[in-house]
Amino acid sequence: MTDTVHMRSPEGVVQEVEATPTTLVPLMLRGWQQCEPREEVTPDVRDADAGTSDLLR
Amino acid sequence: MSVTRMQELQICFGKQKQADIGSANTGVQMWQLRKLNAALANPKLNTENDAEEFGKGHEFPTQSFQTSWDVNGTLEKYLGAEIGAWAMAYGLGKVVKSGTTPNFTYTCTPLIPANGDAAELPYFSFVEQIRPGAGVVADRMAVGCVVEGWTISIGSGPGRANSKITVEFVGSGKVTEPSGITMPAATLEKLLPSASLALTINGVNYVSNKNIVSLETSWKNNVRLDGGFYPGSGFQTPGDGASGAIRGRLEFGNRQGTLKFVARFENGSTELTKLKSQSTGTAVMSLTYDANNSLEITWQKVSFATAELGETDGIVTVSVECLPMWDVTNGVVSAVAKCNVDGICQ
Repeated sequence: MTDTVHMRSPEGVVQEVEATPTTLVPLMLRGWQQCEPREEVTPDVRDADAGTSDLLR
Repeated sequence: MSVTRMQELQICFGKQKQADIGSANTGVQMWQLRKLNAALANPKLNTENDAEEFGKGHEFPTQSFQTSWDVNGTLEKYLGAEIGAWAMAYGLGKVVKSGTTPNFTYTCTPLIPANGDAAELPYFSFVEQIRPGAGVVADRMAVGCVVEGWTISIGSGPGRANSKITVEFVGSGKVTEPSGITMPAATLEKLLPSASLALTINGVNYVSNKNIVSLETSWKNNVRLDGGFYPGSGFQTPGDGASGAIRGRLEFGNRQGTLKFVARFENGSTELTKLKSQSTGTAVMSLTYDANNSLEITWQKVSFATAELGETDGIVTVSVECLPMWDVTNGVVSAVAKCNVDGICQ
């Protein structure tokens, strides 16, 4: 299985790409930097703001 | 008093990069590697005096002033996977790390400021110690060093000396003495021997046709040393204007890559033809210890700048100097370095 890394473009776009020179070198040349995976933000269902009170009941 | 011999010299330097030019590496961020050359990275204090100043009544100096500091050094080593990865990462400047233990892969390219990259290279600290502690002979740390350039030389023959790397570095001038660093245990290095070479240049596989005799490839950053001294760049002792200025930045100048090789020349050899046609292609060289330790350098587009016939040990050879050029997709050079060590230039 091919290894992957996360890369961020100069404009801030984050993509998970294959960690092969064929993929990485052109991106690095165009200013992309390695970055941490973007953290997924999901609402906590126990939070009162997460849904309607009916659904919580 | 016991004589001090150079074999006692131990060095360690930043495996991980410094946070900035003035923040020294800590001991756990460093690694100890061996080297072949005896030269020390001596800090040099530049001084001026008042001989030229009028009003003294004579032409002789009466005062001396500490003005600035320089540090530079050279590492000569048998080429191994670890130093290969380190030199590519710090020398080219841009790194993407992938993989996990025991196979870390460092894909390295030059920084391209036009596309938003920094012009400052990654910084590391360099420590030299001879009998550190109570009976110290030398114990100092140069802070804020960058790789000025590297040269890889591959030759014919059975010994380790046929695969070598030379790394030149320069420093901000900041020196910490004593270093305060506990020398880490020596890193076990995996040699990348000449016999493991794979080499294809401009469409010709020089290993499969058994014609390659020797090869040298290099990268030079031409660091703007004087540009490191700017108003406010700082002093050896912070706040002490008499302690000599140090650099506050080390930026690369006009960078240069080279590739030259000597190969046997025989009927059907294409070097002279390609020189005349100025045809271009990639130059890919790789050296391998095992599946997890290797170094592959790709010059993305080269033509032959010179090709001259000569002889090596009585056999007709051709000596070729390549011209590394810019490829619109892949730039000028890239390196893929694999080794067991995590965190290089991170």
